[in-house]
Amino acid sequence: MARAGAEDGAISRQLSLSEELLAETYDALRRIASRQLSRQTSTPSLNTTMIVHEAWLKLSLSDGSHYADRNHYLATASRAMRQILVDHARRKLADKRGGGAVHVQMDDNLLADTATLDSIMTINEALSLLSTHAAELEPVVECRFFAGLTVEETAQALDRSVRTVERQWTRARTYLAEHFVAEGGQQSR
Amino acid sequence: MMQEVDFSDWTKVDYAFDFALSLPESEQLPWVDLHFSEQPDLRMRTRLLLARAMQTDALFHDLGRHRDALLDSVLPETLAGAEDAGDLRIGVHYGPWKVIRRIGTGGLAEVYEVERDDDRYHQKAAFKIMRASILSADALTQFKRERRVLASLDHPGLVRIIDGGETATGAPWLVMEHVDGVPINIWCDDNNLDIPARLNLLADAADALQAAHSRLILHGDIKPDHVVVVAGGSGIKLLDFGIAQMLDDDGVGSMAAAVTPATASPEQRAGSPMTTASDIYQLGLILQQVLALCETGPRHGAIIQMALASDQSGQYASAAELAADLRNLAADNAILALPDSRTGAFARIVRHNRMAAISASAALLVLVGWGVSASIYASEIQQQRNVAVAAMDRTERGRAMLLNLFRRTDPLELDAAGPQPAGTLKMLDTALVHARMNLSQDPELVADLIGWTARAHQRSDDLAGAQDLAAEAAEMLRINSGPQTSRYVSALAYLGYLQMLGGDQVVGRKSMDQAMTLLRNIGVQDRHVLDALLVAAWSDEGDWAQQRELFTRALSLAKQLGQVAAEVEAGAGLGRSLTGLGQNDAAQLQLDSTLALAKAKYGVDHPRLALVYSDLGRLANQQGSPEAAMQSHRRALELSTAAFGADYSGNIPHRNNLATALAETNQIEAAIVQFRYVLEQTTAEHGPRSLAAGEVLQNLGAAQVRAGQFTAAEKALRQADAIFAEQLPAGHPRRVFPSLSRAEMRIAQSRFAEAQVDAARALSVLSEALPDGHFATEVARCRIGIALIGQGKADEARPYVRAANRALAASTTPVLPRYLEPCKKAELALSR
Repeated sequence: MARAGAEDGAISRQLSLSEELLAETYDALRRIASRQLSRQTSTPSLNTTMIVHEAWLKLSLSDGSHYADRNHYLATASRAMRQILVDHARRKLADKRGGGAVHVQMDDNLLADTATLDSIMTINEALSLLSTHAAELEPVVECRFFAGLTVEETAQALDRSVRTVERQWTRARTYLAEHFVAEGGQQSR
Repeated sequence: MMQEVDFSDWTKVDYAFDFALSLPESEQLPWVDLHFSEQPDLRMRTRLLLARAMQTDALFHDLGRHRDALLDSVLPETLAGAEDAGDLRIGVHYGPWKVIRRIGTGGLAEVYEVERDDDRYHQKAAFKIMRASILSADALTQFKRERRVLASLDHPGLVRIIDGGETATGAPWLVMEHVDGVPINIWCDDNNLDIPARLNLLADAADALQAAHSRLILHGDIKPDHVVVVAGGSGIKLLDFGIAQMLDDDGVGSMAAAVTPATASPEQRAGSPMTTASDIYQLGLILQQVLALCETGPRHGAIIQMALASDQSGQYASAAELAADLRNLAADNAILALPDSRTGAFARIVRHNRMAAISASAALLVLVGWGVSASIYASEIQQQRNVAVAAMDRTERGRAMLLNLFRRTDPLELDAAGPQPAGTLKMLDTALVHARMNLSQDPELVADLIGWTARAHQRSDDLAGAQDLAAEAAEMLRINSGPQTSRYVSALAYLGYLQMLGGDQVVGRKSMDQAMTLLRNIGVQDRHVLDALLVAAWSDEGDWAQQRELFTRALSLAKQLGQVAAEVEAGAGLGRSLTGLGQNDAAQLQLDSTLALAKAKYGVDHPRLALVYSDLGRLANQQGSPEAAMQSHRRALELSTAAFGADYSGNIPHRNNLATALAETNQIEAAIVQFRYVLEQTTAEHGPRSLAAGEVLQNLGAAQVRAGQFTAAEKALRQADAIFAEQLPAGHPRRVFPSLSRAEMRIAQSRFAEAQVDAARALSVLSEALPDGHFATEVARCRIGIALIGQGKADEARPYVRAANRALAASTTPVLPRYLEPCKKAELALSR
């Protein structure tokens, strides 16, 4: 039974650094979720920035941080955030296509939901494609878009100058938007 | 799609696009036109990119909203555990443990169920992994330290820690025994338990707490959910012990962050460091809750009240004490919280002082009874008393330091755990063994603990043990902190102090001098420096000028650091040294202001004021105001008696001082009453044949001689003789003090031949043992003369009387008239 899940061949598989970071980001998500649910009154809309910052701010406020490289943490957490969102969107889409019978009501929410899922899947695929041409843009998009970091934070996380990140973010946006124009068509110019 | 793009062209366009973006907006298009002047296609595509770049904001605003909407739907599912599939830890190994499923999420940790692949642990176990990303490095270190200590705890009431480790990111994890239990309040109500059963369950919980406290671990969040009855009612378990609770939400260990507001202790609410008192308080809340619906009496209320008392002296000193009271109440025995006679407020003080008293009174009781030497020895008594009190003061300061360092348990609070001081010492020794094992990476902390254990040994009169520990602490600090640190200097000074106390003056003085030399180069003025100064000052007893300087420095540093207890100690000490220097007015001012400070700090009836009154008494005596001296000593005795009870052995020196002062003011009968009381206490404390008892007998006998109670005096002096012969080496001056007193008596009885024998015996010893011209020697000499006169041998008497009178007149120390007058009269008689 212990071996059932060991399809990668390792009997006692352990998580790598980046996998462990991803797991920790999941933890942060859970923590925020539980706090939101316990605060019945107001539920301000959540955003990814909060989650990544939850960890980041505390790191940056405390002396002698455990991470040798805080910026490395921030970049990795941003990547983890992308993975979390995309995994979730992919699973939701699979639910809709495969188990459609379960979802009986086809209301506005669900339609909007589908547009949401599609747009996240689209930007993910477009980014993967773009990274084959310009690999340096991928982490910028992960930080700026998926994690919602500011230009300055992104510059810090990636150890690049603010001006460089500004240019790279504009380039990435432009190329990714190109993709949306080609696919969606309805996007106004 | 994009694949159709010519790569080399794409790269060119991208490069041009990138460069153009680096230019001011107005220069971008002109530069593109110039750069691609020969390649209209690439120019067109670059221009298009620049145009599009201006318009992506709306799109990414929309995408951002999609992203947040998606996140909103991620959260509930994440919480519900529907996304366990996304939890990478499921199925993964940490050490030999395989994660099965997640069972909880807390503020600082995730909890999973784990199992072992091999056969070494069959039960289910809980796996707790800390969120490294939100914990500071300090908090993580703290967590690991606690985990190590907790793992070594083996008590049925505490959850066992089985394993521990670190993830790839450095997040610490631990595996502990899985407990299936019911919160204590629910268990009690569901099973309709009677009051004794409830009390016994709470007592079990208090036992478990004590087991942890004695290992310097606090719980920090005691509430019904964390005090559970194990399924089947087989026992109590304390859950979530002292780990995450120690750390606040920011993980930076501001220890008193109220974890559960409804059950927050006063320390938590005040934001001050938690102590064992916080845990006891919280257990008191549970007690209150568990008994809320029961029909209880005043004794139940008293225990709750004592557990919840906010002032330290009113609260239980330890969880063990609370446990004992709960069991006693369940068994209908007497309880500490509501004693039959005295109020409990001073119970702790008594306990704490009993230990000090054992070491103190042994050293304190010194001869007082014979003549003027009374005041000289009285000063010695006070020195010892001060040393003992000073040691206690420092213990308190050190306790505070220890608290800061450990930020938890107060080992001295553990005093009360056992009724015997020996138990306390054992507990401290145990804690130390533990600390050595578990805190080896923190040698400074271990050194501090060793130093404090040394002080406890000193208080228990184990001077050799104290010295060994102090030497070890000093050496550890020298190696780990360096010789130029206040910590080391303070440890070295204490070692020197102990060496001198143990009689090794040369070695002790050397350590102390070295410490004082190092101290000169230390810039930081902290509590370690203060401690070193005080220890040094007490070691200089007798060298009043040096002592005055050290106490003056200590006093100003104590003020600067806001250490009021130390300020009182240094202030009283300064008053003593000024008295010693004969600067009576300055001494008076100093002692008065110290008394005012001590009153403000402790209240007018606090036993600590006794020390200051005692010094005031000494000063008054020196100023020639025996009446005022007597008042001060009486007040000192009153305070000590009120606080510690009439039988407290620490009262002995105060009573002795009072008796002496009474004798000085010619209230001989009253003095005799007090000396008899002192004798009774001393005999009980040290045995009837002890040197201490012999000294009191001598005092008593001398007073009885003056009162004309010759039969009684005869008996007392004979007993003193026998004891001194047994306990003191031949030639010791004190051995002949009874003879000297007896000579006085024989003269009064007109038994001159016998008087001459006694006085001659005294003179032969005293003239050898005491410095030339000492008044005791001269009084002995004079009494031989008087005895000879009584026998009609005036010629033989003359040289004795004349020599004695000359020497007494030349004495630099004041000699009481009642010793001078008989000798002067004798000379007058001879000259007729």
